Amino acid sequence: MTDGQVIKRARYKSSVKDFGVPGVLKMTRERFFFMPNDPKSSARLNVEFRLVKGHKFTKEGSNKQALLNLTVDQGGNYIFEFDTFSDRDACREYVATAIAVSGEAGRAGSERSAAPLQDEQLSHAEMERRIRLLQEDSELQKLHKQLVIGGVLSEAEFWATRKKLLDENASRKSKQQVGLRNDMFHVKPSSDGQSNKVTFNLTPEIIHQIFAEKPAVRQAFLNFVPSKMTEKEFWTKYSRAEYLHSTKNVVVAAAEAAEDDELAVFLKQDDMAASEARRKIRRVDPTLDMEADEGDDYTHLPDHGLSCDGSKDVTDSPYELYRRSLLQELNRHAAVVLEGRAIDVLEFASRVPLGGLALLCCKALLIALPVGLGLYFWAMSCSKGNLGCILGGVHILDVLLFPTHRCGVGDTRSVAEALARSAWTGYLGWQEIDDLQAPRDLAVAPLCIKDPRDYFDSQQANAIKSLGDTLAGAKQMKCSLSTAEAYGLLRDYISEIKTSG
Amino acid sequence: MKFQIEDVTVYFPYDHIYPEQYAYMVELKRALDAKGHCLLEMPTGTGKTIALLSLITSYTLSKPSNPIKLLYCTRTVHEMEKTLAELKLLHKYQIQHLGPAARILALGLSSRKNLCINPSVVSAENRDSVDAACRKLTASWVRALAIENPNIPSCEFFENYEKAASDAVLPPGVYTLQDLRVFGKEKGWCPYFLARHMVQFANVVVYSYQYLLDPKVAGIISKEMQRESVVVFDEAHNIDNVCIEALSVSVRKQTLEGATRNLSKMSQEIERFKATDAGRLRAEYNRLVDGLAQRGNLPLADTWLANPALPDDILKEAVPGNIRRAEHFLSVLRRLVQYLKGRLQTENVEKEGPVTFVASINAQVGIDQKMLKFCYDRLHSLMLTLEITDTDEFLHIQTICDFATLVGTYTRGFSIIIEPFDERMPHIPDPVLQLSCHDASLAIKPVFERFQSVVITSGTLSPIDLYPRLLNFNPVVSRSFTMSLTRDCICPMVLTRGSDQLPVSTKFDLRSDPGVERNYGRLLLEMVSVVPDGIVCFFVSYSYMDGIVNSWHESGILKDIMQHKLVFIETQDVVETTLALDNYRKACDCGRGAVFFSVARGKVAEGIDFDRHYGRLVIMFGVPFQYTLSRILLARLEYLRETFQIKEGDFLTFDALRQAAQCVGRVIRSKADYGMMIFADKRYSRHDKRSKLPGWILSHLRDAHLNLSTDMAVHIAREFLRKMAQPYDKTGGSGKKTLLSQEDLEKMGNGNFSDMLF
Repeated sequence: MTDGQVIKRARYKSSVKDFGVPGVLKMTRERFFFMPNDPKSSARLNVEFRLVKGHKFTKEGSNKQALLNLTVDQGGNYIFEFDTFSDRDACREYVATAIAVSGEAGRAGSERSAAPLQDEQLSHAEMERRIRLLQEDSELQKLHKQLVIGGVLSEAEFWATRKKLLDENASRKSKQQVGLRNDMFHVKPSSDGQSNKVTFNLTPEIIHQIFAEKPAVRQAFLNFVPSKMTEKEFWTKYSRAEYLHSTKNVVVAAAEAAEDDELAVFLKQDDMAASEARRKIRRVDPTLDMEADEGDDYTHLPDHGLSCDGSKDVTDSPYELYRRSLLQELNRHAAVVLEGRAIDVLEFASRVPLGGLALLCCKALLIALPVGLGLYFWAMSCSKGNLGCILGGVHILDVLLFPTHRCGVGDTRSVAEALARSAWTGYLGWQEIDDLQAPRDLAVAPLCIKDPRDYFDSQQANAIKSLGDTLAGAKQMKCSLSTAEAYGLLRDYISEIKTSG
Repeated sequence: MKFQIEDVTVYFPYDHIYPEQYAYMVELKRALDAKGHCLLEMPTGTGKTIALLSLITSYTLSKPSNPIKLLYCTRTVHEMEKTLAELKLLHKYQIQHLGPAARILALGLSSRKNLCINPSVVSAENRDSVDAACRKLTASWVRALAIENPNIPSCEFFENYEKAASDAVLPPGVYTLQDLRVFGKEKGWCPYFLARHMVQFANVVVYSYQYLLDPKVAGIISKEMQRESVVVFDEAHNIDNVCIEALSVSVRKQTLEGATRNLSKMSQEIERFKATDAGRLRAEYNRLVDGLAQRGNLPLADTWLANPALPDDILKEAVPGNIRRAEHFLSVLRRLVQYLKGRLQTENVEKEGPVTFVASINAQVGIDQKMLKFCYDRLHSLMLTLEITDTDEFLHIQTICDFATLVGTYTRGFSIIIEPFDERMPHIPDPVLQLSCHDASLAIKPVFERFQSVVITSGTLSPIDLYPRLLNFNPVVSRSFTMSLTRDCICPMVLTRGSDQLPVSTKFDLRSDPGVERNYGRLLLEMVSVVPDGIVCFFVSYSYMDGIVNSWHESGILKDIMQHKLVFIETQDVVETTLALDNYRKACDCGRGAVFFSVARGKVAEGIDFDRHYGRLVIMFGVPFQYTLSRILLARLEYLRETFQIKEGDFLTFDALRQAAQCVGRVIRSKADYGMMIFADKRYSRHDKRSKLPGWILSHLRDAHLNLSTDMAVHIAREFLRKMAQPYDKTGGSGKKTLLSQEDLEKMGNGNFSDMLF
């Protein structure tokens, strides 16, 4: 659109059903022309945009025509059919801006709800972003109404000062992720009480969690399926191992593991998780590093010092390998939740078409994939019923690397507060006593609220809403906490400003 | 800020100071002036460490003619790092104001495991194997061989350090362990040996308690410290336990089996030397005849854990004739191990004093007290002679010799207890022979005697008159400070009943009651939905925590808790616990919120701070009494009653309450911080228990908060959190000043200070 005009192949129709006259549609700043291919045809058009009141178009779809309908003041309309939707969209955008420009010129000062444009030509995406921003932020909308529609500022001027907002907003949207659920699913076996059968229910999300928390199981899945066993066999075996654990009978577990190599993989302690822990410990904050103490502890040479509080374990060594505690699992689970996930599994799984067809080809892909740390692939979806009938489709999710911290805070202001706080804890850390020192300048711009009353009202409403919502999951809870926290911090700022005069 | 305390100009790195910090410094200065020991209790979260450091360094600066050295003892390595970080801040400030004259050398000292930079050595699993791996590269005889034979590996960092000889010094500055490693890497010098060497010249040394209290370590590291030193024991509420642990040894079946293996290995070595290098063994014999148990000054790299007995008690005599020859000594050890094996086979619990034990050894296997006493030195000499470098393999025999030396040296304050099985698991035979020390004053006595001033300080030293008795010393200053608060930023509560109004307790008869477990669970569940950010829970023991967490898991309470906050747990695996803590902090930082389950007396309770948003609430589930049926504890109680006239019940309560106070005290860091503390046990409401809590907690424990049920506690928590969110005046406003500026201090001079404070 840089040259100020658009020329596309189109068919001019008098009605939707009409086959239409093939020709070329040309649009300039002020008017549009239609030149039929057949020079003898009378369907030649030359219409000023000033007269065009609005435009309609068909939704993009496989079996629909790419239509554009321009309605004119006098009640008539012009329908064009394009060969492709992209042609149509180019024209549509051009028309939209052209109508706006000519409309502005024609009826200067008159109120219109659509965003008026002057010399700037905006892409459709840009427009949408602005509109969404206005919809989300009532303050901004009010301001926009006052300034732009009131004629104080032009649209371009209004947004020029808020460019950052537009950019940030876009980037924030794309980064916001739904976190993992806080609670740990424990695959609870259910038995019908009559036969000797125990049933396990595995859902895609549970499997995802198992893979994330137990890298050894994931590795085993990659190794065994499908070369050695089918998925069904794999998960049956896994469930059997889980069941053995839940009975807490270490001796039986050890005996079973001795007989079956594959089962042993699930029953043994997770070496991969352990080595990962050893790797991570090097990056731990030195003020937390309790491992360093071990290195300095001479009273606990083997057999020195006093043993108190039964801290010594009874270790009957051959079985120690198969002992696994709930406490460890809890820690591991929480760590995984904290690291976050790559994609919302439930949502994804619901979109996964179930069927055996995809299974084989995807499985091949899966095995070919390199397994990295940040690689979250997603393997299968089992039916909600018996483990027995797996209708799994295997799919691979995006390879995503994310920062480990993620603010799950809905409100931009709270994000700023959270940032400010983490900057504080990062820089000052434990080294300084905060209230003995004058408050530091923050690395982030201080929060500035024009109408505090408005802000607090909305905050309160938020808090009440999320408190009242009893079904609120972890995320909701988190929001209410962080707003409360933000509120407290804000109060601190105000009091600081007060005390410092 | 800069101010005068009498004749000392104090440089303090902040713009403001708390009144109690000032008072603390005044008391500390008086103790330094008097060159005596002192005992100071100041609430956590009032900046003890910085006050201490700032006064002592300033004291040295204003008296340059008579510089004193500061030996700062911490319980853990991470506290060491914290202290050094504060010192860094202070040092920067002093340099700014005084210029280069204020330069000091301060460093942290730790084991090879934490300081080594040689990748092939430091990858070893635990401290002992790192030590051994280092010795394999740096022992004098290995290096001698390496010169002749280039195929024998040596440590380049150590060689570089040795080559640099007297040039290898640390320039002035403050060095954390990390800094030392970085410096070592830069220069290519071994940081461990550099630090060991520089300790003699440093103005400030920060290290672990054991480097002073445990004779095995103190003997090699703190031997040459000057008398003009101030020794500070920070967080010293557990110092008596550290002291008695330093002098206690236990022997198990595995130890004896290992020792037997060690002995046969050594006898093989002796045979080998006899065949190849008989002169060496003869030389050792001659040296022992001359009365030199030690070879004099060993090269730094050859030193080893020193004698387990206290320096004053080590005989400066020749090694007795009957253990001078290596074979004879080995046969003595064999007999000793055999005797101990026999003793472990007992079916009943036995308890005796060292005198009867030694007499019985003498009667049965013919080893007299003097031979026992020399066991450790003789072993040490033999191992050097045999050029044994894989010392981690020989820990078992070393333990046996430690035991022998201690039992041969001390006649009182110890007892030997043999238990065929653990009281709690009578069906599993696990025989153990323990030599346990009951008298904390033994280990700390040389410290009090050697150094000019010893400062014992902590947030919990109540009752403050008990410590001088336990440690047997006379403090010149003994003070307990209260906390002047701008607002009531701590909120202690005693919860006696659950939501169903039934009493909650970890008392023995109620402990496994499902009702109590459920009530505790409900309490936590209510709290996680009310309190923002971090919550810390302390349980009375690992086994109790394990049990209750499993039962919460089965009843679904845990799942409900996890709907609100993530759960992290301290386990007995240090690596896992450290990672859990790290993740816990992350969860608090990002606003997700978390609960940390920990154990009183555990490693986390000992030294991790849960300040600011890392801990808005601490719940102490139960009273952390020691396991009262433990024979060792009973023996210690008996000893305390007989020697110090301390009643058993009193001591147990004192010990439990100091642990509880220690746990809950970790939430507060400064006066701007706030936190709640819930003591969830009906026994806390009794006066005899409660009164043992430190004054700064008691003064905030209102009568209305002494007998709460869960719903009332939740209500109070809501109110408290709302109140804390309100703005307030940090300086204390019109009433008592809680934050002093330089002008305030100048205005009041020295005269009317105490009126202002109290």
